[in-house]
Amino acid sequence: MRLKRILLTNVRRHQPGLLIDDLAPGLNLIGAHNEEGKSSLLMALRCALFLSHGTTGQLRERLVPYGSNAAPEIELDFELGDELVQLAKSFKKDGMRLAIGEQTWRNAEAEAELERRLRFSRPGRAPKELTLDHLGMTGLFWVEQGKSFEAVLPTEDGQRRLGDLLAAEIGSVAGGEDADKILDAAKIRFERYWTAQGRVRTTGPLADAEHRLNEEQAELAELNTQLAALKTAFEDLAKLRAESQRVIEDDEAGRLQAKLAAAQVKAEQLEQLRQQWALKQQALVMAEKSRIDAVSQRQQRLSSLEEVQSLSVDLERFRSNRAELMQAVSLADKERDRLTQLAATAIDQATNASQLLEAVERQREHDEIGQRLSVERERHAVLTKLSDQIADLQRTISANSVTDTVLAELKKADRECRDASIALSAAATRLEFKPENPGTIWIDGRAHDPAEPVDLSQPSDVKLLGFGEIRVVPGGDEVRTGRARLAEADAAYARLLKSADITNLDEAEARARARRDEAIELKRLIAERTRLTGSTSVDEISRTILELESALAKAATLEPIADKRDRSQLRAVAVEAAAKVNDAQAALRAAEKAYDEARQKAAIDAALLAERETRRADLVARLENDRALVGDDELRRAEQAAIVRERDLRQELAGFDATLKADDPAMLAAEIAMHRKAVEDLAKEAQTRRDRSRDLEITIKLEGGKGLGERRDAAAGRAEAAAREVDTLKRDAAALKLLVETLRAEQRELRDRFTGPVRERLSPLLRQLLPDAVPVVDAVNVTLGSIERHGQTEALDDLSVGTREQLAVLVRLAFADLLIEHEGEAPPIILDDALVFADEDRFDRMKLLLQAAAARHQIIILSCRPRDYRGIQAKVYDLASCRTA
Amino acid sequence: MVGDIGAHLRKARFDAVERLAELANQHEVDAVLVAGDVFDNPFPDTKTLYSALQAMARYKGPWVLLPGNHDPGEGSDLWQRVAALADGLDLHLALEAAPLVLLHGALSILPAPLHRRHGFDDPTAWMDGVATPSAAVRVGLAHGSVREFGSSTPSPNLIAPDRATLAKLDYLALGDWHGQIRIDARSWYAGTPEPDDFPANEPGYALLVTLDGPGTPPIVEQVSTRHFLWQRLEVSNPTDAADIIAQVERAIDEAGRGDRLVLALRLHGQIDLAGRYQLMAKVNDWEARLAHLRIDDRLRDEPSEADITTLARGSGMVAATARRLVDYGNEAEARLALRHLYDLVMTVEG
Repeated sequence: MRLKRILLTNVRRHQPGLLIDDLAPGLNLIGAHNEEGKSSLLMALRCALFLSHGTTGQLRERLVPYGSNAAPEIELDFELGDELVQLAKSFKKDGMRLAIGEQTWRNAEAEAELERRLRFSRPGRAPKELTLDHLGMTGLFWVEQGKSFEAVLPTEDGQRRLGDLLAAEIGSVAGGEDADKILDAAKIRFERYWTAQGRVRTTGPLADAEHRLNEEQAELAELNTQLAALKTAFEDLAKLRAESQRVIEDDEAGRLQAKLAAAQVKAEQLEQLRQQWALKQQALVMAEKSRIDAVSQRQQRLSSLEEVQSLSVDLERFRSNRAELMQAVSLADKERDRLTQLAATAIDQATNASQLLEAVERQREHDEIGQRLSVERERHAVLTKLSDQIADLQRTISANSVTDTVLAELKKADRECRDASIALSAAATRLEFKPENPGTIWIDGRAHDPAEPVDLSQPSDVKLLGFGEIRVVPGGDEVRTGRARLAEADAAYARLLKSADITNLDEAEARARARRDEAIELKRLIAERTRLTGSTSVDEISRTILELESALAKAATLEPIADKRDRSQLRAVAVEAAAKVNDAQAALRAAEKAYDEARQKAAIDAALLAERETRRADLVARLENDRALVGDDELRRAEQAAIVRERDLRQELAGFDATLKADDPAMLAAEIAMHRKAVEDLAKEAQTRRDRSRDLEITIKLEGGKGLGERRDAAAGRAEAAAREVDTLKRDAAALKLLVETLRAEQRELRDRFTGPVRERLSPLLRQLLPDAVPVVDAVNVTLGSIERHGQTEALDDLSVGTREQLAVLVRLAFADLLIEHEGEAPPIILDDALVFADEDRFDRMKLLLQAAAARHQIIILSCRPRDYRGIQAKVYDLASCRTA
Repeated sequence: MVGDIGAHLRKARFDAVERLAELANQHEVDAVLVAGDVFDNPFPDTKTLYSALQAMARYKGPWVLLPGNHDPGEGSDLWQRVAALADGLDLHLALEAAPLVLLHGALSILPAPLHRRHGFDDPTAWMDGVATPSAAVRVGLAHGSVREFGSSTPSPNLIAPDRATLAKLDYLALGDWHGQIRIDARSWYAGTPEPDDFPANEPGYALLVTLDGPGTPPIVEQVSTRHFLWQRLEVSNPTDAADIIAQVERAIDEAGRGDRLVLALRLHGQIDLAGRYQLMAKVNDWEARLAHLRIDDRLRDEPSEADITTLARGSGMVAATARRLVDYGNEAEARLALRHLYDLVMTVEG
């Protein structure tokens, strides 16, 4: 559909009329200021096509100019397919006329034909507002002012028509209301078991059944445990009773008692035997003691006799040794005296040698003191002389005041005098004479060679022969300063000479040189003195001399020595004498020791002799006494009798031992203990069985009446039923999950196929605007639902108003493309003050997109800012210029 | 069996004892012999014991109870507890393999009690050489199986099938098998008076045995004692749901009273989704009508073209989903999902 011509008469602001003719099939720009009637123009177009001419309601009133009763009239020429449609509608009775080619329709027929051609349904009653529901698909493309950013939501009719288009394109109908209901109903069943995220629900029939199953299984396990315990109790009780019966039947107690009694009888017999054995054992001990006593007595007597004999032999030997021992003592005494004499002689000789050596040593010491005194005296003299020289030289140096410093100052003053003199000469007045005739020149009364120029720094009188005198007064600051400097330098120089007591610089240098030489000599003398004295002072040397002189004076009183042997010879003699003394004294000590030993041995020997004599006398006396009591034969007979008695008893005991060894008492005691314990254990076991049986009977009585078997069977049945229920519900849950997932997958796939065509048209347009965005088309509303950028879905409401407005225009372009492709026709796209929220870049891009789309669609832009569209290839209208006279 | 029906079935077993006592009174019998498994469990609740003994108390004649493999003589104090509670009953507990003389010497009972759950000696072997008074009717009372069941291990509690002849018994009353079986003219299994499972033979009866004297053949009559009818029904390869429904309805009709029918329904073959939908609706109906319905459903859900068409009415998406599920690897899961899908479509469509 392409609008060609619009003529409005008596329509709102457009009074008397408005004519827009020759609209371009592509892009048209209609500029108008605010309140100039852009929106009225759009409303007039809507009313012309979709509002019946007979309408009398408020919609018609909104078309009527202010303060007028005239019927609004609208004429439209537009192309629909290859045909030109001419519509003339006046909102009054019989006001409708429609002409297509040669055919003309009027009023209701015309309205019906228009409905048919534009594929919309006019409501039965006049609406209060013309909404999208009244405008068919066309309304989708005509955007009112201020609504351009709203999402493009096709009406049901529009959705159906788009859906038909898409279905025609994909060849099938995908979803439908029933499918949604089925999916919803499946989800309700699904959500009995699963959360919306597909996780197992913790509540609901399956969870309840699993809970019941767990409870039943727990109860079953508990009952099984209790029942097993009860069965075990019965089994244990039966075993205990069987064991008790067996014990009784086997007469275990009787057999054990018999064994114990037999062992006890045997033990009593053995005990009697053991007591007899003990009595014999005591008799043996006594016989043994008697035998030992008898043997001992006889042995003692024999021993006494032997000792008397031995003592007699010893006494004889001691007496024969006695003389030898006394002789040895005498010889030792004599030897001791001899050696005492020899030692005294040796000591005298050694004393003499020692005294002689001492005298020689004192003489040697005297000589050494004399020599040392001489040396010290000589050193003292040299040092005294050196000290005098040093003192003289120090005085000389002190008297010479021209030090190197003074000399340097003098030289500096001399240089200053010369520099001042040169400076003065430079500033002086130079007189150069060129006499015409040889003659004499006098300056300050002194003749001056005329060939020599003269510098005058002082006022001078110059007398020229033949001319007379000339008073020359050198002037200027330089001469005055030079003179003062020279005077000051000369005065300083003179002061220095005077203070040093010299007349000139040469003398100063000579004296300074002499002072340096003297200082060197002084240093040398001091070093020499230091070398000679070391750390000792002259005073100390003097004291040493006095001490040596005193020692020498003492030594001078020695006697002269007659012996002429030297010191070493005398020392060897003394040493030899001392050695002899030592040897003599050692021999003397040995002789004294031998004497002492001999004397001691003799004393011991005498004591032993006396002891043995006493012992022998005692023994002899005692023997005689004993023999008087018991004779030797009687002793021998008693001993023999005791031996026989002991032997007999031993033989008897050997017989007892054989009997006792046959029956080990320890083994017999162990046997009795074992049998006794067996009897006790049997009794204890019987008691334990009785106790245990009683406990088990109580347990059985308590537990047996609870009907554990029945309850277990019932619980097993319930657990089995609960398990079946869980299994059934799990299978149901799995099946429902599979069903819902399959339904969803199918729905997704079909919707993808269904919305694909819209997405295909929209994607290239969207890329021009938002390069990273992918359109997500809502299959229910058949429109752009959201966009995806970088994997994130962004709802339209989350986008800026400007972006939403631009996307809304693109969706309309895409829908228009779809209509053109499938139906060959699309309504013109009319935008009333759209894109007002776009930034400059986006606006430029949208202009390009609109311009490109204008090659396929008629686009009419109503704008209060037509200058914003400069550069765009459009047919431009100024609404004010389109007013009719 | 658990839940309400479990409680009903348990009660029915006590009711059967009561009916037994009433029948004994009605036929003026000399004694009631119970050939083992009086109780299911050697550790029953005291209330169970009371209930059984109270039911027995309606018959004042002698009751002879034999320990069976479910209530053996040893390993529990069951029989001591029974004896302690049997005040006022002419109760004879056949706990030992020794002749029991009743009716003033007119009846000699040779019991073969089981002391343990399983024994591998013939418990009736001792009967052969045992002398009983010549004027007394000689009746054996035993619990066990008279034939091997092809197991590699020997069957426990095995009884010689010709024991009645070997032991010169006038009658051998046998217990263990739940159904009623005649071994020979003198040897019978009476079966359980109230069934508790789906046996292949006929449970729910007692035997009224008339013995005129020693050496005379017994006259054995069957008397019904049951309340519930336990029945198995196997439907293989049904043509459609209607086929299954018809077979089940026929079984219910044959049972007479649906509320006393315990039905084990086993289904084989395949069924389309529409049939499944129809069957499930009917199952709900049967569960309400029958005493109990146990279904072993091995039907394979196989969507037909008509099913797919029906699903496609829901939408193309639903039909595509159904096709995906048909091809899904986990068949059991997918078939159940298909069942849900079909049900959902039918529900949404109303």
